[in-house]
Amino acid sequence: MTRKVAIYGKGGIGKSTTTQNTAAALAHYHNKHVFIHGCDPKADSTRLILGGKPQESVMDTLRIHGAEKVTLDKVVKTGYHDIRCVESGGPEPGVGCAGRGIITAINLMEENGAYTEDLDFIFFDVLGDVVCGGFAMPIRDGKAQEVYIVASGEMMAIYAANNICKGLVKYAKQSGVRLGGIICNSRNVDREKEFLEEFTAAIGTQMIHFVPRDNIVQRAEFNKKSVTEFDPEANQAQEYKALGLKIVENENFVIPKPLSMDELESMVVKYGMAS
Amino acid sequence: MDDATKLEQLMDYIMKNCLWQFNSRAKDRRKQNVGVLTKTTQLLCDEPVDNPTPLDKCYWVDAVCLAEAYRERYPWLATMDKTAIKTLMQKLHERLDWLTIDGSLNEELTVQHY
Amino acid sequence: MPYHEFECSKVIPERKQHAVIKGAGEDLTSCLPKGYLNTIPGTISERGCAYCGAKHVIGTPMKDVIHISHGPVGCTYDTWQTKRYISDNNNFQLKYTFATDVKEKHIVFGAEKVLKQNIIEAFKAFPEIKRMTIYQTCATALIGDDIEAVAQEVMDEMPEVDIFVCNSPGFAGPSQSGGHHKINIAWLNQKVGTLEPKITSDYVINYVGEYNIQGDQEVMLDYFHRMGIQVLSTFTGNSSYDDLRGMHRAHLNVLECARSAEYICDELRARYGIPRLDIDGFGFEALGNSLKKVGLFFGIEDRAQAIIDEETAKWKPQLDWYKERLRDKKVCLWPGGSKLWHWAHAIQAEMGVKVVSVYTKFGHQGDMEKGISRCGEGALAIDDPNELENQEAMRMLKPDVIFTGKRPGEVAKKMRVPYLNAHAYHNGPYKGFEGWVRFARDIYNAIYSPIYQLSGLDISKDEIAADKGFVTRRMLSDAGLSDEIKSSPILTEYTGKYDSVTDLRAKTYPEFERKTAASAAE
Repeated sequence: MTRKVAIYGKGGIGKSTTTQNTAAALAHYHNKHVFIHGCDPKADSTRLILGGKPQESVMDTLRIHGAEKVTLDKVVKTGYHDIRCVESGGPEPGVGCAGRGIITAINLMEENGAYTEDLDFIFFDVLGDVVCGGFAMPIRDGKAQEVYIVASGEMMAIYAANNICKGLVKYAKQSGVRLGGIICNSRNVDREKEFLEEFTAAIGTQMIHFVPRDNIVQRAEFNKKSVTEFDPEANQAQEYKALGLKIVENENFVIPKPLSMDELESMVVKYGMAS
Repeated sequence: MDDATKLEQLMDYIMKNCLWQFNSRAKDRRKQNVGVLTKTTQLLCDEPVDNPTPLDKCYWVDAVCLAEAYRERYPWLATMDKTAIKTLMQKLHERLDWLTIDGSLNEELTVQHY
Repeated sequence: MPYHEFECSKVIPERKQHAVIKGAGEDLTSCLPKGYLNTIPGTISERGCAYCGAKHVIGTPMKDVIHISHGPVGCTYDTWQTKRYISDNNNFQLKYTFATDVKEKHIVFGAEKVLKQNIIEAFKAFPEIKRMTIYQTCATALIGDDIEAVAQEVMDEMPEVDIFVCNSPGFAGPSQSGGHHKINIAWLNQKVGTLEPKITSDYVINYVGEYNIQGDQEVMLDYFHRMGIQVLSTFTGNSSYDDLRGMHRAHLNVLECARSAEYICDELRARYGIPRLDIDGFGFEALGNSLKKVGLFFGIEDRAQAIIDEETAKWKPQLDWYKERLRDKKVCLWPGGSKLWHWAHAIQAEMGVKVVSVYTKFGHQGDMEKGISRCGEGALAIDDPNELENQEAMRMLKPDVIFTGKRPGEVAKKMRVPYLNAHAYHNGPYKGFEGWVRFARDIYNAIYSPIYQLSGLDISKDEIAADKGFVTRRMLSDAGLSDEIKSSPILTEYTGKYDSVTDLRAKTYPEFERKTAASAAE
């Protein structure tokens, strides 16, 4: 049974980095078959797996050749540990409709039978917030059943996580999608872990893993590699291995209870970051 | 009458009256052409036709109508022996594959999905 | 390639590849226009959109269904059934049309709530109707409304209803044909196999790609029933929603309009092994062959032959009456998609007319292949034409009659060229043996209408003969005929009734004995 996972979180928080490192760890340490579907118009969700190989996105193919000509051999590339990758792509910033692009890309992948049954995990790496219906596409009926939100102890990351939970509540009822937890991608802010733990408890979920900050992630990125591929012995590789295992073994799936603005503000004040 | 004229007459009937040669995808057209023309040749040569599946039967149905129309319209067929009919039908098959598949200008034939 | 360049389209050079004139010795490897491509800027296309193709053409002929458009109200009005897809349940689907009337605030805040409210209100307003199809439109597709989820929610709350969702926004393809494709596949994926039909005959078919224009489907059903064949469903004319859920149980798919419905046939063939048999319901010979083929498939070709003999004996002399009078009349065959090949050969062979041009508004190259194969040398074939090209073609070809849609038809009339409605017909049905005579009668009435003698005169300058009386059709049509034909005791004008369909609904059919279970299992 394939587990379909959507990764959300504030822009710039490290969703793509976390997704690719976790996927690499799942493949390398836990022998999982993984597929990454990048749903960000920037199309930067797969470079660490593909070693920087340029990938023609689904939307590029559609724009140039037309929808009928979108075939798997054109848009699906295989990288590290046979992880299969596809990028939705989308319009340039400020034009067109990126949300529609995601809807179309996912529909085309389903029509082409990209999500095969031998897969253990499909990751939908989604841009930022659930700003419109298009960005909710990965969590609609029959698509991703579990969501992980990447956050840090920074105020705006928590606001964004809370907002994403609001979108999730709506779709939880319609499609059965559940929140599997919040991944803390540490920014080394004060009392970060405690804050995240209190926030996750308040909305009824867990902090599934605390990923410490480590420059090896950036070094691996410069080398167009995941940490696992770059240096499997490194501490940080072990962290992603641990996160991977926690996702594999996770049974804590909930409909979150997002906080009101007031509740959120007082929590932020408590951790002293408003000052 | 030379073979080219005969071939042209047989082809003209298919093009004016039949639809089975125009499935939308090349892979189906090839199957249709083989299915219907093989059975038509067997019928014209009074050979037994085997229809183990519903799909075979469907080819056979079109073959029966085609063979009947050929016999009715082209009396010269009756004067040909079986080997000659088979050779002619083989040429017809090659020509039809060329017109509807390999030489076709239809750019949709190779689209993967229906 | 024998491309034809219109004078009026010289400013749009790409248009040249969309028209050809079939010359001597030309075949499909040398003579085929481009097709089913995005409309070229500058040419005003006559095409519809993919939403229209899904809803107007394929979806709404289903008769016992609330058809609701999820979008602004204009989408609904412009796809309201004006096409005379009649039905035997008092035309419910023609009389009523539904829309969610989406407004600015729904686009900004999401239109799922207003959709749900509309669904429930519609079911309450028509409590006897328990089935619904929802058509997505451009606006609701862009904001990503999850229509399936809303439909599921309603079905959970109202277990007696069933809802089909068609996601085919207007932009989902170059023309309405994109919508045909989308709704075919959506119906197959969502609904086929969700209900087990009751099998009442040893011979079970789906009749696919037939929309009951002015009763076409009912005429064909009459033949099938006379042969003892159970028609499980018709995709989609005059068909019931629930019948179409049981399509997977047919032994054979009989496919009429391949342009609009081959997708579901091909998938039923691939997924369920049901063969696809392409037929022509138009023309004595083609129709006779079609019935014979269906008969042969089931081993009941004698029943087909009996119908062919009876109907031919009755109607052939009437068809020939018109054929004598239509001989060598020039026809432009300008329909939407499939009729260009359904009619091209049959009207030439059986009515004596000459097809001087074929066109297709939204067809694919596959349709043009069939059309060009079936018309003779010198015919002008145009893909996705525009109004100026049509006018130029009419001036060049000087046709006696045009078969096309109502909008280009009105343009033809202004140029004093008679037109017949190829989509919705004039006095149909045109399918079946009798229907084919009705078609010939309509062509005759159009070509010989005295109005075209009068409308050609400009009373401000032309001299009007005061010493001549009124010229009737018959005087015009019989002018060059031999006495033998004019006074033939065999050939007669159409003798059928004004309404040739309603009586069929009350008809009863003989019971055919079914094979025993043992022999059926063999």
